[in-house]
Amino acid sequence: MKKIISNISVLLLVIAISSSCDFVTNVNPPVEPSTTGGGTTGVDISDSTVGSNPAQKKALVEDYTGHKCGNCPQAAIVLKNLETTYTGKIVPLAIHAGFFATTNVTYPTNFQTTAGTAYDSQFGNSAAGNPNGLVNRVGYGSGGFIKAYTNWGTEVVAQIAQTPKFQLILKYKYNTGTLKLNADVKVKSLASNTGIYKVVMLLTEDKIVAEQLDYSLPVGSQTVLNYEFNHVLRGAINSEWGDVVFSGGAALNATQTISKTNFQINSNYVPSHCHMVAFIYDADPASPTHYEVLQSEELELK
Amino acid sequence: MKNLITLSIALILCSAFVKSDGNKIPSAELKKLDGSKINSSTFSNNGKPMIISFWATWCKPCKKELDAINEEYAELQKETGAKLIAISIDDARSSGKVVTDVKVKGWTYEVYIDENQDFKRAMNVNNVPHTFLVDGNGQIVWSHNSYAEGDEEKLFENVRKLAKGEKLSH
Amino acid sequence: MTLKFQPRYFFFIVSSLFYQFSFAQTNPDLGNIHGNFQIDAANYQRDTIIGADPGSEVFRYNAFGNINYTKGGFSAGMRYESYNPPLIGYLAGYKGSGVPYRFARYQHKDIDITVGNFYEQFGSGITLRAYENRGLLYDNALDGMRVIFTPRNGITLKGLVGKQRTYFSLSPGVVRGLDGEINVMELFDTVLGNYKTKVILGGSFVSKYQVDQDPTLVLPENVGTSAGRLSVIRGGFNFNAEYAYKINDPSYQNKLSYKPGQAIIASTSYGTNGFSIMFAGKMLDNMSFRSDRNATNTIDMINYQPDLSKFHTYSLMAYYPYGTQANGEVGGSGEIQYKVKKGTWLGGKYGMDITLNGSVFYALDTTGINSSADSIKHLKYSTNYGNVGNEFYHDINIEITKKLSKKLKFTLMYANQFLNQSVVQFNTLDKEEHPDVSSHIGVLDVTYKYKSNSAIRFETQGFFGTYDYKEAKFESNGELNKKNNTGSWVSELIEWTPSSHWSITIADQYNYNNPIQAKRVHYYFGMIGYVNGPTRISVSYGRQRQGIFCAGGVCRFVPASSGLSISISSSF
Repeated sequence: MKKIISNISVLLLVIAISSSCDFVTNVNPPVEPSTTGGGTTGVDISDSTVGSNPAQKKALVEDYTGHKCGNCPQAAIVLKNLETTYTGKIVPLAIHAGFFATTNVTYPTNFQTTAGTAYDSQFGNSAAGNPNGLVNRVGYGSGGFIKAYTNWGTEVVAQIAQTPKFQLILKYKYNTGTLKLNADVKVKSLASNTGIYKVVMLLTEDKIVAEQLDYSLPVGSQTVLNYEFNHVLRGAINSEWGDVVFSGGAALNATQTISKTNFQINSNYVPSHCHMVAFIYDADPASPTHYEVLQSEELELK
Repeated sequence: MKNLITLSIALILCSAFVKSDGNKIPSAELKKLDGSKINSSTFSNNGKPMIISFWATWCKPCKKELDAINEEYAELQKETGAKLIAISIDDARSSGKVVTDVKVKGWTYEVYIDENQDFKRAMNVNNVPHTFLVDGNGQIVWSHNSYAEGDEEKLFENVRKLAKGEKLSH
Repeated sequence: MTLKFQPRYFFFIVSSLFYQFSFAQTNPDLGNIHGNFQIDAANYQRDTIIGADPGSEVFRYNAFGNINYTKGGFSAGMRYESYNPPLIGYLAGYKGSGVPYRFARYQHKDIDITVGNFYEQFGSGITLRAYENRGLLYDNALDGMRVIFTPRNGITLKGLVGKQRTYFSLSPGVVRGLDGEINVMELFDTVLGNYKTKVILGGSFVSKYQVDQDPTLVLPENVGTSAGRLSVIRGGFNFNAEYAYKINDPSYQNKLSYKPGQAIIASTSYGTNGFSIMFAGKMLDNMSFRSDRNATNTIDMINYQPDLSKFHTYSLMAYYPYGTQANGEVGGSGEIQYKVKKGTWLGGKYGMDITLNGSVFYALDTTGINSSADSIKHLKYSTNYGNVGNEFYHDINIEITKKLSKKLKFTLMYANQFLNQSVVQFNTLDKEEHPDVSSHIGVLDVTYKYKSNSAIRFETQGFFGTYDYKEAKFESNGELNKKNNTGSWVSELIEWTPSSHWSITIADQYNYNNPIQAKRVHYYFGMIGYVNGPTRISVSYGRQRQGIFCAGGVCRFVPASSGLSISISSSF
């Protein structure tokens, strides 16, 4: 008996000592040839359609941030790097909500929205401390639901490797004079799906120049006056919690279209910098994957 | 809510039927003030009663209790032969203060530090102060949580009763 | 691996243990069963004046129950916990129920093996400290196996491997640790056994393994921390020092910096009858060490970075507490205790205790490295150890305790504090919402023992604060826009203990000169407590001011709340 115990302890000793230390000399991984994102994206002027590649599940990456959050530019850089590495597989979203998104004399631009604040209240992101985010809203109700930005890459890799259950085809038409937008999302079920599903349509805007606090800069010059904000959530086109599709279940290859007409684009926005974002999620409160985003898609406005 | 009710019933039954009377002192590693180690299962007092009191340098009522006992300790020892073992649950934040507090107050108790709180867990202490009375056979016969002015009188009364072999008052 | 557990199984196991126990009563050789439990429940209400809004979940509770079995050198046990949902101010991720802690342990002569969950500390904890603090709901227990081996008197070797508790599941990373401690005098007993000076040497090595699936960075999968420590004790003199080094450990906490971490912790003290003096100092640079590099809050921390500031029990002195800065800080504390003798003019009939305490902490003097020059190494910053940065906190206080007669005694305390609130508690340099707070705080605490077992205690506290917003800009109606300038507070408390079983407390904190008239609010509070042996029950009602809870290097904001609370705790 004693011999076994001594042997186990020696074994433990050996395991602990021989576990190597990884000293990293170059943080950048070796560059590999990039795989094309795939997908058939045909774009029309003022009347466009996009069909997500049915074999590709995309990752909706939400960055909960604020212009007074000095640690947040780091997260935005991580998201930008992911977009470059996984072109066409990521649908990015920057949600300005919570304390760091409120305005004051130095940071007067208001990026807060009803939809963004609703998401933030429901999921608790700003309460957990910005920056942080969600990747396809996986794991609602568990301790690991909110993802630190250092974890987004790993989560994206896991999500985009999955087989998608739905395909989304987006269409819009807007008038440059009235700035009224009509948006459609055609949802196709790629498997026999039973459950409660909802589709959300959002409007985001790129290339907004405004003030942002950045702690990575030397003290005294931490307020950046011409910071470029991208994929900022501007509002929900239908509603933040979406419209029900496939009530009663979705058979294989079944389709349904959600439409919204006469959505008013704010005259302060630059339509050619905007994107239409759509996603379908599990809206069953009894489901263990409640709120999980099953497929997402985005389309640039021209 | 259902969980809470089931849990409460189970726990109330536990405390109603299961009494710690008769339990022996469990084994745990403790540190002496001079840095050496001692195991709690070796606590003994030659068949005389022992008082084991859990305290911390940041716990005011704990220090009040030990100060109050200290005033009559010499007399109690002469009368009953009982000894007090004070177990400090201070962690690295304040364990350095244990030595200084004991020295300044001039306590003559045996003082040990339960740095990893193994002994506190093994004795099922929720919070301090918590004081136990152990009889000559090494069995725990009485315990008390929290301290109010004058509580030490009840403790002394029970120590004296224990030394004479009488039944304790709870 | 999740550890969900049905309460009915717990109930079944407990009742089957009863049968065993009834035999144990007549046959002591069957071992002992013992345990403890605590339930804290609250029913919250909306109280808009103080900003308390519990949302839709008004009934909340934190509950746990431990059951242990011991027989000779063998012990086993488990703990059932339930939070549905956890009380306000605790991490919401704990919502749920289950058995997150169960173990079996066998100790015999020089071997001690534990399988399952266990707590452990190496030295001061700077390499590894797995511990629980049920009051703060902190629990980073390890789940795996631990062996403690004492080959001869004076040498202790520990080896362990396991994953850490993460709410009701486990961390993604695996922790492995080795610790060795030598008590020189005990080891060389025959030669040095009689030496008055005791020397203890120790060393530890802890490494963690976590998979790297990040597409944009090469993250180290194995990260190790090592430390060496020394203690010298002679009579009333004590000296302890520990140095730790951690290799590259990019994480969310340190913003993906690859800079190695270092820590020095040292303390020295001398005590004799009636007098003691103690000094402690620390320098921490990038020593946060977690088993999940993406973890936040107090989750998955492998080590423990000690807080050296004084732990205050008077509420107004603990309102702006310091919390160890996980990414780096330097500072120290000192304390002098003096017991004025009985019979002297100052000491009076019973003597007088004086305690003088002080602590101060600064940021490290760091210089950021330009990202273009840092693209290969990602060190992010460099540290100049010869200098210090901004002041984070200081607390100088003096406490006098004196007994005037057999029935009357008092404590008088004064503190001067400074807190760089925005950085320490909210991780921001922006002073607009969180100004620097400087304060003078006074306390008078009088106890009158009118009968042998009955006493009444009066406590008065005053907090006089000034708030510095530095360069923050405000709109035209400036003063009223200054958030969190709460001015000064006064607190009164009466605690009556008519017998050794009962206690009644009434208290009030009043924000008497808040610049905003509507915020001059009373935070009233009442509590009735009952104690019988190891059982304690208390019921309280009232308002709880918003505050900060700091533990192990992380501070947590606790929102204001109002309502009825019940707490039951017992051991058996």
